[in-house]
Formats: sequence, structure tokens, C-alpha cells
Amino acid sequence: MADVVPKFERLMNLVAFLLASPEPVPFLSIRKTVIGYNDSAREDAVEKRFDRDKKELREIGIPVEYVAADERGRDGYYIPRDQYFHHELELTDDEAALLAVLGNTARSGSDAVSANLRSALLKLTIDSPLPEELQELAARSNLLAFSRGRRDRAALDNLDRLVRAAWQCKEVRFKYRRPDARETTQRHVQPYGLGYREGEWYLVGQDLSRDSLRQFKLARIQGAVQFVKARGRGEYEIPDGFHVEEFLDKGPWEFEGGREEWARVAFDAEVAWMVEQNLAGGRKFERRTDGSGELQLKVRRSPRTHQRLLSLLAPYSADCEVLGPPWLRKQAEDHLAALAKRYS
Amino acid sequence: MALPLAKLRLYLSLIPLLRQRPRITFREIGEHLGLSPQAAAREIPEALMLCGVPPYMPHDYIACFTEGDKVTVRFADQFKRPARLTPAETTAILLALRALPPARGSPQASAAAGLLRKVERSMGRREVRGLARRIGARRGPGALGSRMALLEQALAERREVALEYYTQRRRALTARSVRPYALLDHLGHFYLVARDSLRGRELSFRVDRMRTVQLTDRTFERPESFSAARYRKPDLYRPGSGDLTVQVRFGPSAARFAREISQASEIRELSNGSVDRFVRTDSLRWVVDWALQHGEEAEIVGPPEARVEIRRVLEAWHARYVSARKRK
Repeated sequence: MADVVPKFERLMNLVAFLLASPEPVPFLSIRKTVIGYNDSAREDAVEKRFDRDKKELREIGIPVEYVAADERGRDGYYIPRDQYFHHELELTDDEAALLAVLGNTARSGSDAVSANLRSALLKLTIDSPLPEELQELAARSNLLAFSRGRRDRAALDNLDRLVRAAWQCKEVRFKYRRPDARETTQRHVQPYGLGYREGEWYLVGQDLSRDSLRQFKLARIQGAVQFVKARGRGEYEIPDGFHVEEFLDKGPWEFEGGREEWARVAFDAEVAWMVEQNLAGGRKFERRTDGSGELQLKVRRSPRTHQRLLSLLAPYSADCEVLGPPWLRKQAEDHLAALAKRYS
Repeated sequence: MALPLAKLRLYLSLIPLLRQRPRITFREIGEHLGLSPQAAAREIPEALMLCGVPPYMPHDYIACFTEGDKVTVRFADQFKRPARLTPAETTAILLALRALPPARGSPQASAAAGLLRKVERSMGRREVRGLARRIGARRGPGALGSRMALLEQALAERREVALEYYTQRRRALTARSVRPYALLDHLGHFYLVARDSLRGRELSFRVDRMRTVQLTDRTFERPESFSAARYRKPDLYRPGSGDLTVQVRFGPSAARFAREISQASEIRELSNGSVDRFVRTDSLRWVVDWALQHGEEAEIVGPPEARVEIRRVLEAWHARYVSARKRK
């Protein structure tokens, strides 16, 4: 009877066997002895099964290697231990306590990154010098990092794919709906990096459809992210000096539109201190003697620039005012009038 | 990832931990795996008992001994250490460390830096360096870091803190004296949970709205009954009996976003692809500011007083431009 052993059990047996073997193991030996391969299926079917398993093991980071003839003339499959085993980290008590704290993040998250964090912490915790009760105490300490927002299943899968794409430099395609558009557009992107900001995930990458560097909010991707047929790993190079965190400070008004120019926004004294204290990178703030102040930030001209700026300005509403450039000031005045009209 | 592979990856990490910590409890394992203790007790022995190596004599199978709520694993010597971190796992660790509060000089910040260095070494520094440029989290400006460091100190030393705090709902800056109980990261914003002397109850304060933070010499004991886990929920807002429910409509282009908003508010899908959220609030001003952030993608449908309020705010804001133009 062919392939009656569940896949998990078969793969566990294979990994256990290769890790336990002191020397490379020929396929024939695996075929004859390892449960999951030593069944009555046809030879070519078992070989295909083995090839598929090897490939999948490699994809999850288990290096199944083949040696044609080692220094003692033996050939076969093996798992190089120095590449397989996690190196011991020699953690301090504070570092181990921090791992326990991060466990809270992993436990409370429901996204793909939380699942990977759980699995990573499981590996790192083995090096914790703290006894269980102290780890638990640390986990209940003052800091809790949690709540990354709800995500539907499709969004979780997309996040997982984009993490892999960014890591392995794999081009992707997806349908994207801009906030100001009713229809989706197809995008072909070289992912450079992924960032997390205020509960939302963002992809930064070269949009080959637009021939420019763009930021995409993952929540606005429609359907599944597809890998573009690989021409091998490392399909493209990420430019030197690229750092995703520089993009996380950028607002949507900095990505689309005409040339980049500086905008000026005045804030009243009641709120100017808050704008100044929480100033994001790449922006300037000048405080006036009466406590009010002027924010300078980069924008690109488009018919939607003010609409995009509202995510920044609305919490201050009438305590702030766009001063320039003139086109943006005019756009702000018209936009606010149009919004007010909806409620009249 | 297919289920058997995900399960394999998990067990290849779990077995070394079980070997290293004989009599580990199912509760602890369950916390690592995201399972209940009962599910861990049921699943782990069942998964491992049939795995082994040729010639499959009794001691060639992984043996799983349970004793009450504890478990011990034997005959799994080949799994002495877990497998190396995968790229996705490294990404997750990196991100979790980067998303920590930017409290410079605190023990936690030093631990995070140390941990990052060790993960880099174990992975190959060059590889992780490249990754560090590509995976990031926005943690806020430097000023936030100095406030976070003071708050961490107050928490550690159980000292009361004097705050100047801007309440968005009332658009007012007030002086508060608070007893810090915990720091939270909620959807990328840092909050201090503290007992507020002014209101005589536990409240959460956004750290980026604190104008000043000063440690006092007054110390206190955090109540035994305090549980930070109570704040592990999508919405920090505590509904009250005098709340209003405001209906906010998001157009089709913003519908997906509207569905994902982490608020414990009712949601209704409309046939044209729009989505209505029914937001409970004790502050019309708050919901107006919130709706305004979405510009024309969101419209307050009701109640009438909410529409009146958003019109008032928009007209006042617009008037600012008109009057400045007239002055010129």
C-alpha cells in the first residue's frame, strides 16, 4: 500500500534519520528502511515523493544536501549540522526576560508575523538562563506589546508572501486599490522592504508598472499576491542606502503626484508643542515666540494632495492652516468647503 | 505553508525544548504554541509517538512520558538543538525588537540591542544587516524616547508622575498626577495605563500627547488586582452609559479599511459595497476628528447632532482660510 504514512510523520522520520546518521545516506537505504518511504509503491513514485519532500524541507530552512562522493568515497544525502542547528546564544537574564515579554506580542497577535515570532521564540527560549517562573514573571512585567489589528485570512497570506518576497528578492504582482480610486490596478513590484506603522503594514518597492518607488498599504491589496515566475534567487538588487524605516515616516502625499516641494502648515499654540514633539523624520518645525509654530513637510502636487494630508491635519482641524504653496492652500480651502457642503 | 510542514517546523523546535526541560508543563508549552494546555496534552504525545529512526526498535522511537500536567521526552538525541531561525522567523524577531518603545538607555533597550547582536551573529551578520534595512517599524521621534524612558523608570520604582496631558476628546491640556501601572503598545501607539488622581480611576494615556512628564518622590504599590491583560483587546475605549452611537459610512474604496478598524463597533455591509460602522463614543468631537481623517471616504450619517458638529468644525476650519484671504 502506497503512502499511507501521514506526511508529518514521514518528514519527521526522514529528518530524524538524516540527523542521526553519522555519514551520508544513499537513497536506496532511505527507501528500504525509513517509514514513509519503505512501502510497496512503485520505485519511481517513491523517488518522486522523496524529491518533493527534499524540496519542501529546503523551503522551510532544513538543508538536505547530496554528496556524490565524500573524502571516504561515500555518497548520499545528509543534513549538515553546522548549517542546521541553531547556534547557542548565551543570553543574559535581561535578554531572556525580554524574550518572555516578546512572547506576549506573539501570543496576542493573529498575523503571519506573530506565528513566525512564536516559532522563533520557541527556538531562542532554549538558551534562556531564567527558570520558568522567572520567565513568567518577566512576561507579566510592565510592558505589553500587542494588538496589531484584525486581518482577514487573505491579508495574512499576503503578508507572509511579501515577507518571503522581500527576503528573497522575488518580484510580485497584485491588484491594488488606491484610497481615491474605485477600480483596482494591476501592479508589478520588486519588494524592497516591509514596515509596520500605527497598526498597518506597508510594502515599499519599485513599482515596475509605474517605474518609481512606491509605498503600498497591505490592507489595500485586493486578492492574493502572486510571485512572478522566478528566474532564480536574487532577481533584482536593492539599491545601496535603501532603508525601509525612512519610508515609514513618509505620508501618502509624498509618493504620488508631480515634483517634490515643501509645504508649510501653521499650528496654533494650543497644539504646536505636540506637533513639534512628535515630529517625524524628514520634516521641519519652527516655533514662534507666541507658542504657535510652522511645520514644513514635503508634498507632491496632485488633485488629491489635501485629501491625503487630512490623516495628518484632521486631529488639529481648525487649529491648523495650510500656508503654502498657493496651489495647496487653494486646494485645502476648496476641499474643506466641499466637505462642509455634504452636511448642509 | 502546508499544515504538515508548519507542524514539522514547530515540532523540530519543540522537541529540543522538551529534552532540555524535563517535566515542563503543558500550560507552558501551550503558551509557546498558542494552544490550550488540554490541546497540548492531547496533541503532543500523539504527534511524537510514531516518529523514530530505523530499525524502529522501542528505544528508536521518540518516547513521550506524561505525568499529570507535565511531559518529558526521551530517545530524541538527534534533536539536541532547534533548527536555525528561518528568514521569516528572523524577520519576526527583528520586527518585534524594532517595535519596542524607543526608551534609550533603559535596561530593556540594552537587552534589545544585545539580543539583536546575538541573533545577527547566529544568522550571519551580513545577511541580517541586509534584512535590517528592509524590515522596519516606526517607533516615533526622539522626544518620545525620553518620555518613555522616564515612564519606564517610574514603573520600575513605583513612583507617581506629574503629567501635562492633552485630551483629544476635549481638546484641552490638563495637569494630572498619576500612578503608572503598565505601558502598552496598542496598534503602534504607546499608552501609559495609570490611576488618575483627578478622576479617581484607571485610565490609559497616549504617550505622544504628554507635554511634560515629571517623576515625583511619592511612591505607591500597584494593586494586586491589576491585570495588564485586561487591555489586550482591539479597542481601548470603555463604553459608558451616556455614550452616543454615531453611524459613519465608508465608500467602496475604503470599505476594506473600514472592516479592519480595530474598534468594538457594529459593522454593516451595504449592497453598493459601502460599509457602515456604528461607533460608540462619549465625545462627538472625537468621532468628528476621526471621520475627518478619512476626508471624503467617510461620511457621518447620523445622529443629526453628529452631522451638526462635523459641519460646525468644517465651517470653522474653512472660515480660517476665507478670513485670511479677505485680510490680504
